[in-house]
Amino acid sequence: MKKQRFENLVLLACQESCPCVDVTDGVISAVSAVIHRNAKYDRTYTWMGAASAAIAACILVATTFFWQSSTDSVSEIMTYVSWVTQ
Amino acid sequence: MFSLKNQDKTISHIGFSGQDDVQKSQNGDAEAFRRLVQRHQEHVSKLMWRFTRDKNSHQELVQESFVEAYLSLHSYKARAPFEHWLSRIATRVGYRYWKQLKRHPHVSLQDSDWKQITEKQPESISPEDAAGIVHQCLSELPPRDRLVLTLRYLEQCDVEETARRTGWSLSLVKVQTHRAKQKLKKVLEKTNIQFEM
Repeated sequence: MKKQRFENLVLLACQESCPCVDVTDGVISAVSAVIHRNAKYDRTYTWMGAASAAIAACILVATTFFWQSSTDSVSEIMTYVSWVTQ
Repeated sequence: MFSLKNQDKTISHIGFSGQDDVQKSQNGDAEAFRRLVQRHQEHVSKLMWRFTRDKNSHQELVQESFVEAYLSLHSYKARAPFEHWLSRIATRVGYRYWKQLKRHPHVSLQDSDWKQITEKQPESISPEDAAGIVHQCLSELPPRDRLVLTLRYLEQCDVEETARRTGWSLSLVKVQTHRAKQKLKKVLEKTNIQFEM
């Protein structure tokens, strides 16, 4: 059997024509799916962000309310104590 | 309109065809990206045929390359032709495919199989047969060696181009090529294929 040279096989292999493929529709639908999925994630994160902001606002209002009422009682006591000492 | 067409032809000649479509795609224009896929799918298809000879996997790899290109489109700075940038992405996709293949148990060819593959007379070998034999020989190598030899031999890339495609340094490409050739020589010892380094 005659010996073949690898380099010759490579040269011959380079002349090969590859099968034709049309992936346009597949690519566009895959890309659309990715965009849709990202948009879905974005929407979820937006809702989560909005919910977190609302909860934070409620906590802030409640904290302010309790802080004000507590400082009011303290100042009331202080006024009373100063009156008694006098 | 006429002048624009002529301008596009000139740009196409120097390898920057569809720059407008690239910009539109970066801004989310699906139709522009469709045109890019249509324009470049033959080139990517040819490249991915080096990575697999299974038609289904081939089609999947071509598609995956374009999807990955779309997702990385924001990083394309137009310093090099779009086709070169796309080739780098497709090479990365193909290399990843080989690495995934290697994770599954690899069945190496027996001596009898090798004889069957290479028993044809050199004169009667078609380009398809030759490509099949070369593909089979290279598939015996680890993915890194296989990648560097595929680019150097089948894609006929020089050291610089191989480095660009793989993201490796020039010296790494040279060392990897040398090592891969040594391994290939060992693989080819059990065949009637001669290989000179």
